[in-house]
Amino acid sequence: MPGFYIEAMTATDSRGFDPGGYFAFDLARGAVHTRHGERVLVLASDVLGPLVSTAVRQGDLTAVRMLGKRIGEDAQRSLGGDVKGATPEAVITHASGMLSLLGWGTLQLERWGQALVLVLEGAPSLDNERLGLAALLGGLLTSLGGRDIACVPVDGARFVIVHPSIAEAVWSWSKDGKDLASVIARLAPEAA
Amino acid sequence: MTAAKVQKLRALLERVERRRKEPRLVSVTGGAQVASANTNETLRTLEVVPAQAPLLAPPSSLPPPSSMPPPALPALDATLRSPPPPPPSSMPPPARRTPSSTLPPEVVPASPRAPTEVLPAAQARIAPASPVPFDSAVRVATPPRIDAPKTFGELLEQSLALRPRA
Repeated sequence: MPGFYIEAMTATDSRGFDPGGYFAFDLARGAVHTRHGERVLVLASDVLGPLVSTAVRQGDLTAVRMLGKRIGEDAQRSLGGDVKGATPEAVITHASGMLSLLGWGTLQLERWGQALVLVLEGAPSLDNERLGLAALLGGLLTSLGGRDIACVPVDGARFVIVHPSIAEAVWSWSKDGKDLASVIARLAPEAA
Repeated sequence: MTAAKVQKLRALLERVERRRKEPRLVSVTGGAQVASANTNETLRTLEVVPAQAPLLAPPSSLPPPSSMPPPALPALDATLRSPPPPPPSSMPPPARRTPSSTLPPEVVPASPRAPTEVLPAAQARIAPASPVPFDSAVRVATPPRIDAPKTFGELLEQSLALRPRA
């Protein structure tokens, strides 16, 4: 049965995430850089929200997805090894650490049968349908997984991780009011 | 009293003493074997076997599920109540046979659920080919872990392989 809940994987890996020295504030030049040398801006969330809402209305969340990819790259560097071969706990530890450091809330991974579900708690409110956060997490996982991945908002703070080709279908079920278990029960492994 | 009489009397006393001891050994053997083979493990095996047996034995050879937990008790009772095998002519009446209070602690069965008669059958369902240590038998009977640990990549691929049901 594909829809039953198995376990939650939280950020508890022993090789902890190190937030020390991530931001370098260069007051003389008026710039903030990450420890990898990328220039970043510190924005108020109520400024970013309307920007994301506008992007959702225009159907183009490329910029948010790009931000997610950057966060994923940082998480990958923080993990310091092969992401796919790492334990889910280790990956989530570093991904959640990065998101927390940037103020995007805390991340958790859940297994529902064969489906993976991300739980993002404490995230700023960007748009009503949480498509901005879905794009952010999709970009994050695309970096970590090394292939295009989509996250679809279902049930509160949860996002189902799916192949981009079925994201629209899953999203339509979610909009129809199906809860997470019902959505996952409609999925089955692809026939070989 | 002559020496011959003394010797005769002594022989008689020895025979009486042997008679007193013989049945005790006979009646304790079953329990002693079970207990000395580690009663706890025996019990564990017996408790595990009914649940696992359908996996390893053809269904027709198994008792119906309702009779599984624990099949040993009726068998034990029946065994205890049934008349013992014909005793040797020298065996005293059953009433004198080793009340459990006279047994040394190590041979007193810890529980009435460890009958010798049931044990071989239970083991046979687990490992019919050869006798297996109890611990091994229990491990064999334990179902394999369904949800083996997976890497992040494996879990991710599983999730990405999901498609809408037809």
